[in-house]
Amino acid sequence: MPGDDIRHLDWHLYARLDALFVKLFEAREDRTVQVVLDRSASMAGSKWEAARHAAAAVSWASLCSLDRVQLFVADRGLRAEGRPARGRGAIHRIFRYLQGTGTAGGTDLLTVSKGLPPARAGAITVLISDLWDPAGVDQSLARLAHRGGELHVLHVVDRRELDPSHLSGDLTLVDSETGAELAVTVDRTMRQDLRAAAEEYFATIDDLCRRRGIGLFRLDAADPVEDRLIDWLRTADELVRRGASSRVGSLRR
Amino acid sequence: MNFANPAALWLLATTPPLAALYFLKVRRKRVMVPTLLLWSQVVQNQRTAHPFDRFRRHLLFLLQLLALLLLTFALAGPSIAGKQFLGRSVVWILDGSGSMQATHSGAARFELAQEAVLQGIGRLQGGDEGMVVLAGPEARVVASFTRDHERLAEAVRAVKPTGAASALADAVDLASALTRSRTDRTLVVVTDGSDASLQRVVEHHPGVRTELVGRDTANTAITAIDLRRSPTVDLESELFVTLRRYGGDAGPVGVEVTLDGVLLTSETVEVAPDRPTARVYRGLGSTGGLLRVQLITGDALPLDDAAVAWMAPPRRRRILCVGCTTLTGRGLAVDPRFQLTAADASTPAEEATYDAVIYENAPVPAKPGAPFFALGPAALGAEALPAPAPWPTITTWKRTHPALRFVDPTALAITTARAGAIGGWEPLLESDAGALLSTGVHGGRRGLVLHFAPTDSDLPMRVAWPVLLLNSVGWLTGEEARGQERTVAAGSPLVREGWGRDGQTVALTRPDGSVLDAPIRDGVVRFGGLEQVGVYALAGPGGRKERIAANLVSDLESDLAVLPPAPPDAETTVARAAVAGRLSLLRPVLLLLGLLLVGEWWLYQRRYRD
Repeated sequence: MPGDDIRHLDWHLYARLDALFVKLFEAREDRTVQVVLDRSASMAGSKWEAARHAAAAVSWASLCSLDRVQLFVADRGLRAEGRPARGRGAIHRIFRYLQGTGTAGGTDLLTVSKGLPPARAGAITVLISDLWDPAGVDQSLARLAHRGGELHVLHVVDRRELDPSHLSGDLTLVDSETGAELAVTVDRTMRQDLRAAAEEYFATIDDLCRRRGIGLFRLDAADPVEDRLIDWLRTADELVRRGASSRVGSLRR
Repeated sequence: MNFANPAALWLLATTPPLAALYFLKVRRKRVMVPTLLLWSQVVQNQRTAHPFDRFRRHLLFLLQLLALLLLTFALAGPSIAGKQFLGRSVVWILDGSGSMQATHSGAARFELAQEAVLQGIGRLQGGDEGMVVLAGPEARVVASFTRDHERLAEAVRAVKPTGAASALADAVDLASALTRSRTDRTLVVVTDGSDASLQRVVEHHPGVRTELVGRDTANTAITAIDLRRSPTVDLESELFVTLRRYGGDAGPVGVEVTLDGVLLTSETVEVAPDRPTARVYRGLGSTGGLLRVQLITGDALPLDDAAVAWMAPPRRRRILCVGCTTLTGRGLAVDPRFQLTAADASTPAEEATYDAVIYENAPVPAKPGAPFFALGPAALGAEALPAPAPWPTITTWKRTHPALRFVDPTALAITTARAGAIGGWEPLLESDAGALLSTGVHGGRRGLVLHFAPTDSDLPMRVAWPVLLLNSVGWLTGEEARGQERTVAAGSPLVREGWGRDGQTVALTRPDGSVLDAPIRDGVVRFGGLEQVGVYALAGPGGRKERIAANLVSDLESDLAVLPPAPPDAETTVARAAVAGRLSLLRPVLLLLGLLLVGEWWLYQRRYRD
């Protein structure tokens, strides 16, 4: 059509089809995937391993999609791993960082939400956390959801913490983050009540995420992590859809 | 509330230390958890919903403490005032007389009685107590009051009947006295009714129950046996035997008489029912021994079909009289049992050939050759008698000693006597100056010492003189227990004097071979009723021996008719009395303790183990 830029003619198609076609291109902006990894003390153990695996997987998938990945670690505050990473080669840097990072400190998701850089439209924020925030997660998740972009929460749990059949009798429980102590007598009733409380808490989180349009995936660290991550990555539709392939449009004369 | 053992309450003092140990010991295990968010919420919810749940933590400890309190309580033996139902007290009086050994269809009456008592014991309830008394010649408690019914039954099975007549009334009196303090008692007499005192028992002890065993059975028995000196032939004896038939018809009965197992005579005697038949047997020989009369009947009670009598060897006792006066010689000559030999002096070897020696006006050697009677000696061997004392006055004497039997020394006039104690000797006749007649052992020989010469008194003028002489010589030679005195009815007590000093023992060997020892007290040795039929053997100090024959010679025991029961009084229904007493709380406390422990176990399983 008149006005088309002849530089965008697809000469290969012309040679084959003896017709003129104009290549169409979408303007592709850089997308940043912010991975926020909760490294508070409550994440210690199997959950931390699962969380690190998840962070590495998300980072790799994003880098493969030519997205930029910004890794943050969060406890009572927020700390960036470094400059946003681009390209597959950057994964090694991310791996090294994840390997060298351990759990410590408490949880303050509200401070984390305030500290995260604003997200552009189309950005994705992935929060990998066990969501054990003494201040609650409602406000912090709401802030994260309203920052812009998409928010996905990978809720890392370990069902063995919530169904402590290995605990019984008179115990003094010590909070790994605050050091607070609680004397309890663990019996069957106590364990039943704990399971019920956990289910109720998870239901609350499910409802919260659903209302705010937050993608929620619950990862049980007691299960094999790799399979669950693949399932999660597949269901994270945007990440798969925005892969290396490009959209090809046709320009008809 | 009362406590039988209040000292056990001191166990409560262990409670505070235990509690302290518990709370100190409860070092809770510290467990790191990711967060206390949910735990705190759960604990708070529990405290709100179950405000007393804070005690659940210590519930097991509280239960254990409560168990300790209950245990202490139980050990203290708590009881409260209240009414309690006492168990019955039952006494069985078992007839152990000779007639109970009669057999019917192979079973003895005593076995039937034992079975009846065992059945009664089997009907006892848990709190009932029982006692068994055996009525023999003496009443004997076979088993004292006990609630151990098995032990009671064992005692009944082990008891044996006697061969003598029983004294049921004495046994019932004994049982009644032993149960006087018991409000709920029952006395049961198990008998064949042969005891003549049974009617008296029923009359004097209302409420006594009588259980009869056995059935009427004809019986032929020896009801009397007696051995006497022949009035016509010196040194010979005659055996008198009385036979009787109870029930049935008249008929012949075979009779055998043996002497130490050798048949002397055998005959058939016609015995009519209910009329005694007497027989006399002579020509029993001159050797002495055990005479036995045996009836050949095969009836239900063999115990009364035989009787024994001990016949002493009918020989003269040889007495050596050293230095005897005419008065002494004449005193002994009246009794044909003694053959007197006079001598002026003697040696122990010569004396040993005699049965006894009399020293009158002659010194007593250090070692006499035979038992001796010294009349007025100055010394016994080298031991001098006390110095003469003038005109001693008789004060006391042992009437029951064989030497003084039928001797009356009252107002005996004695001019001078060496009155006084001889070391180790027993005084038989005493005066204000000391002993006048003593007995003891000198030189290994039993002896009697008259502390004065007969001629220094008016004794030879008295009837007592020959009696004293013959008694003393007879006692020294053992002649006084001849014949009739050695044959007794079974059940008779056995009493002997002059067998030794106080504190020494005499052994009685029963027909079954068992031996019973009895001490000599006040010069007398006593044995209880001779329950068994047969020959008993006595053995005392110094080698003294005697044999006694015991026979069941009793009309009542041989008459095997089972008397109809005495008219019973109105049956006394012995109700279980309710009396004021104390109710023990031990069982309920222990039950509660058991339930508590079970509950604690269940709670622990439920709480800590899924």
